[in-house]
Amino acid sequence: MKKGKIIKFISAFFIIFPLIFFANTTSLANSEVILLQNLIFSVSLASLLIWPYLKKYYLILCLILIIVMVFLSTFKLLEAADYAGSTAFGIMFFVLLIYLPVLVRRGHINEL
Amino acid sequence: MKSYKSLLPIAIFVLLSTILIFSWFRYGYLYGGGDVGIPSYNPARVLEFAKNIWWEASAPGAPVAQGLTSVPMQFFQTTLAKIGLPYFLIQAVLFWIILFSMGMGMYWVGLTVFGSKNLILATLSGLFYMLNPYTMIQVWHRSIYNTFFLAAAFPFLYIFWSYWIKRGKYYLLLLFLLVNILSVYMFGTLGFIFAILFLLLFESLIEIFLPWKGKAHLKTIIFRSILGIISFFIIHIWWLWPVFNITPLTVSQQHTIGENLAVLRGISSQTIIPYSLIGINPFYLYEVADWGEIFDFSFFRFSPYLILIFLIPGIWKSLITQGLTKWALLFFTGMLLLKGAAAPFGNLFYLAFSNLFILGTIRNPFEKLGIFLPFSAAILFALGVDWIIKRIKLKFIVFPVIFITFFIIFGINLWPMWLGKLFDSREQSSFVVVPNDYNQVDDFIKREGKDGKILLLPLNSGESAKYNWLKGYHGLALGQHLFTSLPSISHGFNVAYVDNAIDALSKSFNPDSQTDKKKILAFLQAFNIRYIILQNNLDWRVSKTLEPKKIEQLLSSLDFLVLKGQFGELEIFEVKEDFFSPRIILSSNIQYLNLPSANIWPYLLKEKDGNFITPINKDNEDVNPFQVGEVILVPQNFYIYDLTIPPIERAVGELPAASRILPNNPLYFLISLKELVQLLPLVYQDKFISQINFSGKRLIEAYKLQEKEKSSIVSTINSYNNLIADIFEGDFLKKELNLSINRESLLNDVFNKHISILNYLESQTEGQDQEAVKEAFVKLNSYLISHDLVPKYLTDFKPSLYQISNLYIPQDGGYNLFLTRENTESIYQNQLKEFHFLINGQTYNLTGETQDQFIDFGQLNFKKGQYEIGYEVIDSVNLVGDLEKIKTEGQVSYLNGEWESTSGEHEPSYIEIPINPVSPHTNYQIQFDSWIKLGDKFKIQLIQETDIFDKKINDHKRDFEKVVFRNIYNNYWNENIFIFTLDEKSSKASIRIILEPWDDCRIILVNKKLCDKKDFRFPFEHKSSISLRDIKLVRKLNNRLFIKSTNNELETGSIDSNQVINLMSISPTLFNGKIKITKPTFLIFKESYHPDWKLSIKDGNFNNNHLQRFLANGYSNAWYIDQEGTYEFSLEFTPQKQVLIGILISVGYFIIIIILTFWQIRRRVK
Repeated sequence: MKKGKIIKFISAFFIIFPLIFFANTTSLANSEVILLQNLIFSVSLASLLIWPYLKKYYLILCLILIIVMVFLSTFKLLEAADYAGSTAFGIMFFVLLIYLPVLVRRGHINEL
Repeated sequence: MKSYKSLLPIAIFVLLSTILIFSWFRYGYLYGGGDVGIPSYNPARVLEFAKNIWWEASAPGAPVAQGLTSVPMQFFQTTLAKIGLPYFLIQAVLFWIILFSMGMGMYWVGLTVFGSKNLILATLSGLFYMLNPYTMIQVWHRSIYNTFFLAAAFPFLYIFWSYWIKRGKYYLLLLFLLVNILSVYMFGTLGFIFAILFLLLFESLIEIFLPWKGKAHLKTIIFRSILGIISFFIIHIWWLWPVFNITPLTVSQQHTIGENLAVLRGISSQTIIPYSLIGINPFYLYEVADWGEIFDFSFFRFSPYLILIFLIPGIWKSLITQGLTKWALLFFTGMLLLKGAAAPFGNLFYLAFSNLFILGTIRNPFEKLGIFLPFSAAILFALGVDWIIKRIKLKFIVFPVIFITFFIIFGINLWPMWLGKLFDSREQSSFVVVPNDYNQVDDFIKREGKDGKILLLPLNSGESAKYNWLKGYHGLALGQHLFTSLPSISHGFNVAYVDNAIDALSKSFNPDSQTDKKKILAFLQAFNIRYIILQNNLDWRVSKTLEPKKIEQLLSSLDFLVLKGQFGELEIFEVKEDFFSPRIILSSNIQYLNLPSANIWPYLLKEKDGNFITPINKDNEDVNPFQVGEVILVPQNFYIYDLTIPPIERAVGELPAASRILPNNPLYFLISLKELVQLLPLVYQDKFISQINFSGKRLIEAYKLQEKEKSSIVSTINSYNNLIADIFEGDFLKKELNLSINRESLLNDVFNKHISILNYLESQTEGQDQEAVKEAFVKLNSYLISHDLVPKYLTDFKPSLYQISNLYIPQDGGYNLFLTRENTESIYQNQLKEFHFLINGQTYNLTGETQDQFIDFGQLNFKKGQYEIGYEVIDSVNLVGDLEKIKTEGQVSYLNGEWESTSGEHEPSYIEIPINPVSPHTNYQIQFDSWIKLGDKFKIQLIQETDIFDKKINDHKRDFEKVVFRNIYNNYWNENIFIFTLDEKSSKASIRIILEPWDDCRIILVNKKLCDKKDFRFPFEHKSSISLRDIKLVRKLNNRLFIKSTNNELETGSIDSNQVINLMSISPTLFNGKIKITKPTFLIFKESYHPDWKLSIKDGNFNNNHLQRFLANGYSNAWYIDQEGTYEFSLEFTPQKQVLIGILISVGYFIIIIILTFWQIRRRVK
């Protein structure tokens, strides 16, 4: 990994985190967990901006989180299911955001 | 062959809709209840009142502008009724059309997506759109007709809009507008405008950007989109104009930003991703469990997720396929919106809602915007199925698996849809069989041919009622549907002053309130009531009304009423002609009432005949220029303030703890940063609460600095000052304090502790520190006073609890001070005859005299201005009187002042103390020492005759219930104090201390939930035992205070020489007539007050339509006319004109689009 990219990643993280924190923090959720989710979102968006090829891995992570959500929800562990599901949804949203230029250019995604 | 093949999907949707409708309507009953009432019952009647904005039928009248949207639907239903179809069949036909349109519309969308040859995938899309959890729960089970229409029209709107912006053919725009008109009823829920606009905007943006096709394309799409949206608004202008003219006023009277946020918060706690992803509303499925516990089993919790097997590949396929990407994007964007403030990114919703009041129309985003979910998922689902079938080669395995999965997704999982249980609630089915008695009564009234209004008793000021009809009914009160002969008063309107007046009217029929018969008549006259219908079939407990039997006795004793007959469970009484008061009257006999907010009390206090007149705004608050018989003044606010400042130790212990890093620490900036970050995302109420917490922390920091480090506290106190300024000058406190915050708890729990610490710091500091503390104290106090949160005037007389009333006296004079009796004066010392009042800081020892429902404390002279009147909240004598009246059950004994109660092995024991006298809606306190000798807890319950039996818990629901657990630290005598409030309709009440057998079921069993069932608990049960002593039951004095002055020189009750010469009702929104004025008078129009009712009077060339306006009798319209003469008058609800103009504009615009369509076709042909 190049040093320059790591610096860019860290800079991006510090710019993104307050925005994510503002958009994602509500009184509905446990504050420690929501803070962790904010960190995950900030890391994922910053890393996606710097290393777009990570999209594929994030999509797989989303899929895993959705499967986890399904099982947690089936066994009524709803708080945990919500964290898994909302994290998956949030990351998926960022992945789509990263794909946006491709979508505007081509109208669809032709490769991961 | 090909054409037959394309007919097959249509046949499938016809068959499916028919099967479902047959299943739902197989018993031949109409569905109804809930928020919608019975829209398919008597559609001709609904059509009649819905075409006017002013719903006269729903007396005393209300503006329901969006009711206009139901006109086309009701016209259709009325046509079916004229053919002779019974109501249930009309509903069945309507539901069939909705179902079929949903399937066919989505099928058509599918064809546009998958190509006209791919009938199977298109059909699958249609099937999914019809049969999915969202449609089952949120569309059908929720039973809101507007949502039915939205679901049916949504695919068609999408298709025509999509084609219009792509092709620019006017016939497509015409079809888009036509669908809008046919399905206009969907906009009966205003939030659906957002759903439609979002769909249109989304499709236009996709067409522009996915992929980008250049600037020329951008311009074309923007032009067509703008033209389309303008056309959309013009075509709807006939109802949108009056709605946007009237609704903001009505809605702002009904809701606030704080309420919107509270609803959003509540809804968002349910629309979390695990539920919203599959379109499930957990409230109906799990919480109230309308279809029983079955959906809570693991299989049924898991099975909806089977949809994801197809949905996820569908999303993927959509993203990678040219032309289909928008469906995945629509799904994601839709999800982001419909989940509301649930994670992720929920705070953006709070921010938007706290700043834009209009967003309140989508405060339940899952309901208002949720249709995007099944709409986009229907395409993605079919795409996913296609992807799986094409990718997996083992077809002989895949097909059966897919078939079984489909069977679960469309069949088992949606069993209520197939078995006709769709509309059922846990409590009962939603079938409605309206008893024929109502038709008989209605026919009788029609035959009589008299004017006036019908009063349905028992009455509550809420909007719903429950009837014990053949199949039951629980939902919107139905007066306007059941009676076509005359307008009927049957429910409230969620508008405070109207509901208050209706509540007062209802209470006047409570025999326990001992209302003077003359005053009951005054009520009937004030509301223009001709008939009273007593409904003995009303479930009065659930409907929260008086018991019909009680009212019946009272009605029979009123000599101005005559019983006209009994039809089944309904009794009809008529107001005798001599006592009837018409809809429009002229009245010079006036009593002044400053505020319409004190329910029945001002009416009981009034002694002279005549009508109440209340100023509408502060500008006409003065009693002059007209002469009044009595001035009755109701406090603007009325609250209990606890003057007890807690000791410093308690204040410090109970305020939020400060961190170890104090302001004199170099690292303190981190604490400031943390708080700043914490406050950053918070809005409105959340921000307010955090600021209060932080202000408490500042004081604790100041206390610690002073106590432990002896450092300067000036900067900390300054930070406190800044926070206090933010709290009191912030939006939340300005807009919401009276509505959302319990003043008592706010003051007692927070600001009294602040005062305690400030007092302490002031005594412990000197110099600059002391000055800073003093300044902070003055600042806090001035804020509390300016917000009416603490008494302005305090002297040495400082009771611990202080009842405060603030009121404005509009003119100098002698006023009598009254306290309501509420039949309780006998339980207080001196029967409240000697009593201290504190008026603007001056103590008055006054002597009271009982006078009907009030205690009169005599006359005092007041100057015009603002007053603060207070009294001490004292306790009554101990109401636990005669031991023989105490009821016991099980092994209970009384010896040497102690009660011993021992439960059976499996049966509870209890002690029940009657509450006497019962004073509804006031506070009582029970206090006793208890010692739990065996077992771990006991229960204390308030038992009232108004308690409702709850089938879910197989017991009555109690308004007050507390469990007292064994004190592990001190298992000996412990003191218990509880304050509780009696129900408003309560006339018989008692307090029960229950001891249930102890059990160790939850300790032993792994599955604790089983212990909720008595059968499982049974083998684990053992005896419990408690001792009780010093039981004290008291009532807290918080009787209401009023002020009255009587002008004995003014003669009232004399015959009024003013005259309504004639009156012609042109329509429910227009009245013309002639009046003769011989002395200054008020014209009173007995419909609910609304600023858009305009009165203009004309006498030759003299024309006046700017008469001074007032509120009459707390709810209706009054105009002051002070010039003598004979006038022609016109009374009009002006927004109705906008409907007519709007229709002309819409029709005209429609014709223009038709002309453009033909012009375009002709040009193409040429």
